[in-house]
Amino acid sequence: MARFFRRGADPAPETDPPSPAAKPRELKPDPDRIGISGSVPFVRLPVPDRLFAERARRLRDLARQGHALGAYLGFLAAVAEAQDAVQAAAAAIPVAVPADLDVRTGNGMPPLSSALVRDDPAFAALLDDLLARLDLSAAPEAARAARSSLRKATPEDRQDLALQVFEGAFPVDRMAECLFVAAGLQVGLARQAAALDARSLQPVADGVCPCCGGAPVASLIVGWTPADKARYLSCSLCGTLWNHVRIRCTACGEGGGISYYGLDEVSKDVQVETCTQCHGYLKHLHQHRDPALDPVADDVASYGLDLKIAEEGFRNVGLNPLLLH
Amino acid sequence: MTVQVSRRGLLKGLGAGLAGGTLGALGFGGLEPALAAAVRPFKLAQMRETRNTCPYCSVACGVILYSLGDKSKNARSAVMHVEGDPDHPINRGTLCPKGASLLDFVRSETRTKYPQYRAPGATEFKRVSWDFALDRIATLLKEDRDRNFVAKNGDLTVNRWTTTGFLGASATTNETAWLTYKTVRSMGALVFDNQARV
Repeated sequence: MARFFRRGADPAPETDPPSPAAKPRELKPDPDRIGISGSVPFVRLPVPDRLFAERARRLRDLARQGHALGAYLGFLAAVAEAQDAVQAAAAAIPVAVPADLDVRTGNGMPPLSSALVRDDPAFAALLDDLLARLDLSAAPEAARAARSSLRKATPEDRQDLALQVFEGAFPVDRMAECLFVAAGLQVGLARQAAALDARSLQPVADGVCPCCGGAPVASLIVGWTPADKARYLSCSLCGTLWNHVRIRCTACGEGGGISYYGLDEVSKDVQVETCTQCHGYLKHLHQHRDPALDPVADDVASYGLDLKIAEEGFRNVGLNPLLLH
Repeated sequence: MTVQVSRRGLLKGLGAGLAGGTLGALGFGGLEPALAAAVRPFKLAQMRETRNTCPYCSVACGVILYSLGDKSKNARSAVMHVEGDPDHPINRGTLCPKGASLLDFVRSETRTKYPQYRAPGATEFKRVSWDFALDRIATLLKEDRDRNFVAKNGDLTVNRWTTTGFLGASATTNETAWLTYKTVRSMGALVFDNQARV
């Protein structure tokens, strides 16, 4: 192409004409030249260095925009900042490889499990560190009380609660403490997921994270170069993004009754994908139009859309441990 | 996704919805009514995305048709955007200039939406039923085949019919293509092509 635009004499001397015996050059499709690839990457592993810092920045931005949930978004920004500080402090500590990794992947299970909580002593330290670093000066009394009761709890009790949060069985009487435990789990699992080999990961099931088996928090239409406008689901626990075919329900796999609803007056980039087969919905963020969208932060910020779509009789098939409703 | 159902079921069963969820538990319960009031005047806008195949050539690129309106609520839906399907293994979201202008094709005033017939000597097309059109096509095919079918070339059996051609579409499935081939070839037709070279 460069030669096409160059003026003057052709600088490249003509090479000898190919001998008749030489085979014609093999023609192969080269889609990389137009910024696409024959297949999109199946997973994009989290980068803990950036994940929480960028989320915190997004939450702060959203909180500043005079949002009705501004106070809560500011609180979550403080949580995300603490998560970032914890992962930065733990960056030097090597990530423990789960002992049962080969058994699990060999049997079609996601490689990461609650072994992080049960067997890894670093996780308890991580959670303690997170609770210590949280800046709750602007938070309501209930949030501060939850933090102190969690710090006063025995290590066994904290571990037990972390196991329940990992399994998605949130004890209703300890919802506030669950949020802090979930924040700790996000840091621990993101660190573990980042250490995995992306090429070894296989699809586990529809709407199940291939790294940790977690539920998706939201669906993103991304704008990255090799996967422009492909859809990725974002894990609610480890932050992994994995590819899921578009216009196909993330919960039941049906493609027939899919619709997209949004509040156009609020934002055209945040929608829900609804399915009339299973009556489920999942947040659907057009990150290719607004790269600032963060699955966790914008799921919380678009809670108004949840309220509206619930009136239509759809239930959330995603899970955001930072906003259970 | 049974895991997910049990998760949500458990939460609902335990009355998490009544307890106000995370917001209420952390002391932010007052924000929810304010948010609900803020979004109450807004209307949910519905959009549908439908997979389809570009009708132009036999490359058969996948396209996504974006339409507004809800078919189930008797509203008229209208295609408002066409884009390449990023999940389609053939085109990975890309389209050629013809495919990228499909929206004009869909909305074209001269688009053929039903069979029309211009009788010999008449100056105008008039709308006819599918039954009429298919009967007429079948009659003409039969007439032509009866007149021009070549069974023998000397001593050699050839069973060919070269005076009528058949053109397949690009968006056929394997099964449709198989049926088309069997139908057309069993009549002896040799002039048989697909959209590739249109």
